[in-house]
Amino acid sequence: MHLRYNKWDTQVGDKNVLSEHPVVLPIREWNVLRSFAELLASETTFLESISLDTSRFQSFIGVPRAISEALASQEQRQPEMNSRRARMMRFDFHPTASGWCVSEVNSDVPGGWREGSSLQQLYQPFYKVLDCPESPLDAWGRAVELLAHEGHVALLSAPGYLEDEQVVRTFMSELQGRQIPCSIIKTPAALEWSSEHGCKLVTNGRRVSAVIRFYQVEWLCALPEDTGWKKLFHTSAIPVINPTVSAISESKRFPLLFNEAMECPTWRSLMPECRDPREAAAADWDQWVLKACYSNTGDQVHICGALAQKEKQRVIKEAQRHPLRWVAQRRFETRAVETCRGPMYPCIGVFTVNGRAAGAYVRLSDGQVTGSSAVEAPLLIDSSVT
Amino acid sequence: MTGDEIYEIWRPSASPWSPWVKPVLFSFLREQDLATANYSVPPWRVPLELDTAIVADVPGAEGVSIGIALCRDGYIPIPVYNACPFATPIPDFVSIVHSGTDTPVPERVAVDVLPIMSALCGTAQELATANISGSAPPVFMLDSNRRGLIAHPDPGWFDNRSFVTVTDFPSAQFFRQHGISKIVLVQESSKVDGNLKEVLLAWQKEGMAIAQQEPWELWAPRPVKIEGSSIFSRAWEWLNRAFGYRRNALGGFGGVVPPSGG
Repeated sequence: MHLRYNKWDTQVGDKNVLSEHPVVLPIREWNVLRSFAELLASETTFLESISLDTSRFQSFIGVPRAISEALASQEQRQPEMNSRRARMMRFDFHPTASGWCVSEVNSDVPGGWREGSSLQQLYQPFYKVLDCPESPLDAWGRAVELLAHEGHVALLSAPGYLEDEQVVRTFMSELQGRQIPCSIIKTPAALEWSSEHGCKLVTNGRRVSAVIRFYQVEWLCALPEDTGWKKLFHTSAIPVINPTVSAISESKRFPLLFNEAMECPTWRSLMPECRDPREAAAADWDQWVLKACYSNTGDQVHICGALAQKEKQRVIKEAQRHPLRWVAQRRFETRAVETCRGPMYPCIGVFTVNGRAAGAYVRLSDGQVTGSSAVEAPLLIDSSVT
Repeated sequence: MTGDEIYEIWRPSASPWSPWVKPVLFSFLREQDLATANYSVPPWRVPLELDTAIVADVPGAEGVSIGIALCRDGYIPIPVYNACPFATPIPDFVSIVHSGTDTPVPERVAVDVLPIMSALCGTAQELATANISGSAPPVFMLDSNRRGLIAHPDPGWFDNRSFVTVTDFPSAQFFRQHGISKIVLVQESSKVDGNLKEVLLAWQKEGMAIAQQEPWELWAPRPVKIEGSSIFSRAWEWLNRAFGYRRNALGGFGGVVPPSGG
C-alpha cells in the first residue's frame, strides 16, 4: 500500500489503521445499501437544485455567504452544466438495532477511493469464497474519462495536506492508466481563463479539459479573490468535478431541509432526526450529537452524553451562540462487531458516481464517532448467503 | 538496489519504531536516486543511551547524515519526511516541465527534498550492514525546511510544504513501554518550530524529559522546558492555516481549521 498505492498514512500515533480482516456483508445487505445510496443520491441532487434557486434555504442550512453569492451565478447555466458534470458522493451507513442508519453524505470532497478499491483486491485472495464489490476508483475513472477524453486534466488540492495529496495522486495514477494527461496544482491561480482559449495551465499553457477539485469549497472561498477561485463556480467551459453546488449538501445542516421538501423519503427514513441547536430541549442534550456544519473527519462531532460536563457546556454554548454553524442530530447507537482488536463500530461509506452505487470505503472505530484514527477495512461480499 | 529494497532497509520489520517511517519519499525514488553511490557522512560520536530518543530537526539531507552517524553509535534512524518531491506525473521526468515553448524549465518546488531522497539511497548500503539491535533507540529525522523558505509560493510552483503533528510520532506511553524516558532535540537554533513544539509539549505533559543539543558538537544535551505558544503565536498559526497554508490532520493546534476531505 505504501509504495504502490500512494497510501502513506497507515500509522496514526501508536495505531496501525489498516484492519487485519475484511468486513463481510451478505449480498442481500450489500444490495440494500446500494439501493439506499442511489435513492439518497437522487434525492440529494434534487434538493440541491431546489436550494440553488432559494437563497433562504442556503442561509438556513449555514452555507457561508461567499459560497451562496458564488453559487447564485450558476443558476442560469444549470441545464447546460448538468450535462457536463460528473458527481461523486459517499453516504455513511451504520448498522443499528433497528436497521441501517445514514449519518451523513460526504458530498464535496469524499475520500477513501484507494482504500475502497485496492484493499479488497489485496485481501480477497485470502478469502476466495467471498467477492469484491465494484471498484469506486474504476467507476470514478470511467466517469472522468467520458468528460475529459482529450486535453489535460488539472488535479487541484490544498497545499500541505498529505492526506489530500494521497487522494489526488491516486486520481492521477487512475487517469494515467487511462492515458489521460494530468497535472497536480495547488491553487486555482495556477489556471488561466479566457473566453477565447477556455482554461489553460499557467506553467506551460496546456489546455485544461477538466478540473478535479479535491479542495473543500469552503476553503476555496477563503482564498484571495485574485487567485481566481470564483472561476471554478462560474465556468461553463469545462467540467469541475465535484461541481461546487456540492457545498449545499456538504453542510451538516442539509437535513433540516427535509422538513421543507416532501420529496426525500429515503433521507427521512434513514437519517436520525436533526434540529437546529436552538430547538433541542435543555434537559435532553444527552440524546443529541452536535456537528459543525463543515466538519469532515469527526473532529467536530460531539456526542453530548459522552462529554465531561464542562466540555459539554462549552460545546452547547458554542452551538447556541452560532446556531447556523451547527446541527443537532439525534444520537443513535451503532452496533458493535467483534474483531481481534475488541468490539469495533462499523461505518460503511457507499460511493455513488453519477447516481449509481460504486463500491464502499469501510472504517471501524473503537467508539461511536468515526474519526480520523478509525481503522480502514476492505469490504467483501458473501454471495452464498441470501 | 531497487526502491523496494531501500524502503525495506529503512523500515526493518524487527524494529518497534519502523511503523513511524514515512513512506512518502520512498514512493518517488527515481533511477538517479537509486544510482547514488557515494553519500559521505561525517563522524559524530554520541553515547548510546537506551532511555533516549532523538529528534533531529535539521535542514534538508543533514537529517539523513545525523541518522546514519548515530546509527554507527547504535541508534536506529527513522525518516519522518512528509513532503512529496514533485508534481510531474512521471517520476523519471522530474525537474523538467515545458514552458509553452520548446525550452524545458526546471519544475519549481517550495521545498527541495530531492537531496534527501539521494541521501536515503546513498546511505542505504551502510544502514543495511549496520547490524542495528532490535532494542536500538530511535532517531526521528525531520527537515527543518518543511514549512518552506517562502511564505507564499507563486502560482505554478509545486507547493509541497509540510508539517508534523503528534500523530506522526509514538506517544509518551509507547516510549515508556520501550524504556524511553527522555527526548533530545537536535537542531541548530534554540527556537523550536511551532508545529514540532506542539509534539514536544504533548510528550512533556506526559512526563517525558526534553533536552536540546546542537548537531555535530560535543554531546552534552541541556535540559529544556518547552513553553506553550503565546496567544499571539497561536493566532499567527491560526491565520497561517486558515488562509492558504495548512491545517492539522486531526484539527490540532487549536483545531481552528477543518481537516481533510471526508
